[in-house]
Amino acid sequence: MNNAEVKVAVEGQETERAVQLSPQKKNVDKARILFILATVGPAFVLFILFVIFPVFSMWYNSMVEWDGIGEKVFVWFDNYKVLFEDETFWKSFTNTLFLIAVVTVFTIGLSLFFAAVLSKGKTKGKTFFRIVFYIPNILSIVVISAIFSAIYSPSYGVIGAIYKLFDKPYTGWMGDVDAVMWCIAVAMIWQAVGYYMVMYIAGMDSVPDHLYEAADLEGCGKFRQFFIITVPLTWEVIRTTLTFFIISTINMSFLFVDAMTGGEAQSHVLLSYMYKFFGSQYGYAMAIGTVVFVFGYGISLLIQFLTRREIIQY
Amino acid sequence: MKRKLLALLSAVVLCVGTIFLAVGCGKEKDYDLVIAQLSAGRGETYVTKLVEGFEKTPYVQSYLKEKKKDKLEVKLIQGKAATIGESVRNSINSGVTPDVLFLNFNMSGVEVTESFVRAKQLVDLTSLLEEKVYNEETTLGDKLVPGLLENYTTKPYGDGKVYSLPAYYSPTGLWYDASRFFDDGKGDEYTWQGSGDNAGKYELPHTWSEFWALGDELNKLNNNNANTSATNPSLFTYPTAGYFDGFIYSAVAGMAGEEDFLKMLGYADGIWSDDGVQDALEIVVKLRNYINQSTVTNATKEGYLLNQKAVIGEINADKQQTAKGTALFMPNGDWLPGEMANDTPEGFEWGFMPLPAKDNSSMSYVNTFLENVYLHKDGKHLDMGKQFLLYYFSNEGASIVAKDNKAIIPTKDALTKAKANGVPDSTIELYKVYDGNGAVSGSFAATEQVTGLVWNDVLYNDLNEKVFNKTVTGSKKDAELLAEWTTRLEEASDKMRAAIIK
Repeated sequence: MNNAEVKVAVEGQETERAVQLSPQKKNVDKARILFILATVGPAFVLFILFVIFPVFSMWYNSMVEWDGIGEKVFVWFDNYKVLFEDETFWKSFTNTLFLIAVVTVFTIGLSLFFAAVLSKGKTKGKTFFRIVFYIPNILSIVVISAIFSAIYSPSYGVIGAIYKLFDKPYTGWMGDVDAVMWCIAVAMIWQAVGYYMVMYIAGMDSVPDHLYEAADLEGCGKFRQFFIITVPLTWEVIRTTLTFFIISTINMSFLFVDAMTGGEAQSHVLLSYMYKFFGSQYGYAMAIGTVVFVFGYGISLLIQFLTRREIIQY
Repeated sequence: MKRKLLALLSAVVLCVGTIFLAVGCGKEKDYDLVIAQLSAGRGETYVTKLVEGFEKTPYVQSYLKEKKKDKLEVKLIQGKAATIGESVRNSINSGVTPDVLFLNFNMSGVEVTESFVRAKQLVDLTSLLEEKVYNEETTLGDKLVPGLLENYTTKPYGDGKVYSLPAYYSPTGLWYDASRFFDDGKGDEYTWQGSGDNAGKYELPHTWSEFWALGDELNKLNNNNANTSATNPSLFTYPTAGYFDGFIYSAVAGMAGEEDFLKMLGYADGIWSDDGVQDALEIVVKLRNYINQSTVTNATKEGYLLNQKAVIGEINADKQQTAKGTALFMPNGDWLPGEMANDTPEGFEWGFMPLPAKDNSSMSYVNTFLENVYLHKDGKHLDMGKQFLLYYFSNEGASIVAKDNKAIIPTKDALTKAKANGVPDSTIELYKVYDGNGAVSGSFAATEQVTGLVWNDVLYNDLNEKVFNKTVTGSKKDAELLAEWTTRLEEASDKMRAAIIK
């Protein structure tokens, strides 16, 4: 939206100048086109090569039967036919949806809360807490997975010890189909809160203090201030992070599932299920990849559309 | 100005880098031999040692003289199961096809082998069997341990032609802590626990009924495995469901006989509903009542070592045992003691046995795990590759493998000379399991790709979830789970049979 406005403005300027320099207009036009081509060209070529081409290649490959060696056989929509009747695929799909919903809701809630407390509040040790909350984001996913696997482990985990205290049998939540996705979600939330908190703090710090002072004078509580001042004024940031949530949950869930459960106990997500076929049934894997692409793109657009509202400025 | 210069400089570096990368990929060195090797449990150094020895052979020496080189340029592509398949594919795509490949059949992550079989890219080695191994008068065919060439890995198309050779063979069976068992060696009545000198020890079960009797006693003491403070071990655990491969093969051979076993490997119609095969599958399902509490959760590629530890027990920093294991038996292969060396207390003695027999008058079956070596027909140095194989299976090759890998290759001499070559007694001992027991090797007929279907998943990988996981199976009875598994097997088997390469 902003881009469009800017473009119009620039064009307006250019026409003005062009009118002024009408004798050399043709030359200027040519030079301008050349200049635009020269600057946009390389990026455009790279965009075609590394974005557009892979997407089309994925679509094409989702319609072949190929194991990585030998000839590709074009089979039209056969891979999709099998895929849509594949129980594990649908389970992976619902798992992915579950993670997107749960991780987004909890991460957004927690990181907004912590951001609100740490940005404007006069909490003691603000910087210390900022660092503490951000640390999980620096750790690698494998380390985080190992930490949480250890916590959940039936052999030596903390949870097992607590169960034992009450003499209850503990067979491990990660082997429990009803609990395993929550286990993964908790690790993902723990990992993401700090990152989004920093983003929200940046947004909140730019909200002028006088608004809060005015609200204070009017007798408005902190809780209400958060909803009538902070959220509306940082809405664009929240909205952008929503898209991040969806894309990063789709991608990150693969790493977490791969490192924590390897897809056991019905815990596959779309990308981990795709990767399982990557080496042996390339076409089938690409069919899953296409579904992920369409789904990820679609849901991002939907979120953008649903959360659109007038930008409030101060 | 400085910043502009810097930007310009980095842009130039980026462009030049990209170009170099693109050009660099296309250029490959001129190798004399390319070897790919799955280094999972076997380590990587012994291949290098083999190459060093191979270089000294007259064949290579005259080759080097002719090429006016002073060293054999060998490219090694090595990696574990998770990466080796991709490395081999990438290498082929960049124009370097491995000549010699030490890669397994029927193994998750190494599906390239099946791809090569499908594309008919393996070199026919039948005539190589007639050639003499390096520096000896025996032919390769006579050199190999008998019986190892009669299966679908060596003869994938079932046409009598040999396309791959066994590079290693190892018995797989049940492993246990030897100090917890005694064996009175008599076929008399089974007393599950010993007395006198054997007090506190369990009698080693030799038939399935003895096996279950031991399990029932333990379950009784442990309140059907539901009590956390149980002091008695569970009967059984498994690292991951993938380790049921050999278990199922020997169970089928033992309960249904060798004929049905071979039919099974060919995806014969209705084979899974066959009485004997059903008995074997029932054994697997029945195990769900006897497994360790944490087995299912730990049975992942990250947690499987915990299940293996459950058989060994706990140790302290001085490698002294502080607690006995929480499970008695586990299916595994000869690499286990090495794999668990750091977690094994000093003085720990591993016990190893084939699967229990059907009854006192039947034979136990040992599943032989075959690791294979084959040549790729697009390799550029196939003559060199063949010579390398003849060297590998020679006495000299066998002794290098024994010294540097503590392993036995499937030549007759390798086993008899293993001790002299420095293979530990415990490893040699394992091969005695073949004495008096039947041996089978499980590998299914080669098929075209069946989209969306992974046969190993249906046969064993899915068991962890679909049979053993109580949160999935709920209140289902053994018989129900067996019926469901049989249906899954029959349906998948039908699809696989239709896709067998003819």
